[in-house]
Amino acid sequence: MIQFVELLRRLEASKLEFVVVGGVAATIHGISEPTRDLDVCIRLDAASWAKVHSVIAPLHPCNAMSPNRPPLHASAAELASYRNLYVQTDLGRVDFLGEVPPLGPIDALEVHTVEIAGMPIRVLGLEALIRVKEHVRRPKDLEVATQLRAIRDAARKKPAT
Amino acid sequence: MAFPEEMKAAFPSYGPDWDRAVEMGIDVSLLLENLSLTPTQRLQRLQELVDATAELRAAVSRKNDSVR
Repeated sequence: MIQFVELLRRLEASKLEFVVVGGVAATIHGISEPTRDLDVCIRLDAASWAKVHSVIAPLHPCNAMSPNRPPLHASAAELASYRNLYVQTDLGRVDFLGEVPPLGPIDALEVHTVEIAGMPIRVLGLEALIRVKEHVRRPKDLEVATQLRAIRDAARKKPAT
Repeated sequence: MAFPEEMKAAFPSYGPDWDRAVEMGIDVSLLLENLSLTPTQRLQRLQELVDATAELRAAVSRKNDSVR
C-alpha cells in the first residue's frame, strides 16, 4: 500500500531534485479524486539517477511496466539511460519522469514550494497542472482539470453572488 | 450525492469555471472543504482514502475466499 509522506521523506532525505506532478500534485492543490501513485519529475543526469537508486534499492523495486512485475536489478549507472522509470516499491508505486508533456523537463516547470509534514516539497503549479491534465485528456484527467479550474476560480476571488 | 441544482442553490458562484464544475456534477462542497485544509492535511486525507479502499478490498477478497 502506498505511503505518500514516507516516500516524500525518503526522496527529500536523498537530496534528489524533484517536482511532484500528477495526482498527488492535484490533491495538494485541493481536488478530491483519489490516486494511488506518486509521480515526480527529475533531472535526467547521472547524479539524480544515483539518488533515485539509493532511495528505491532498499524498497525491493519492481518494474511496474512489465505484466509480471520482475524485480528491478538495474544499477545506478544503468538507470542513467532511462528517460522515465515506473517502479513498484514496498512503499508503493513511484513514477520518475524525465519530462512532463507538454511542459518539458524539470527546468521548464512552474513550481510552488509547499510544506508537507514539515518538509519543503516542490509541486507543479496550478496553471501548469491544468495544462498537463488538458493535454493528457483521459476522461479522469479532464475531470481533474475541471476541478482544478474551479479551484482556480475559488482562489482568485470571493463568491460572485 | 448532491445534484447540480442543489449545489448551485447551496453554494455561491466563484466564477465561470466554478459554475461549469457544478454543472458537470462535481461536488464543490468537497473542493471547499479541501481548500480549508493545509497541504499536509490534504495528503493525509488521500492517504486515509487509499488505506480505507485497500482494507475494503481485502475484506471483500477474504469474504469471497470464505464463500468458495
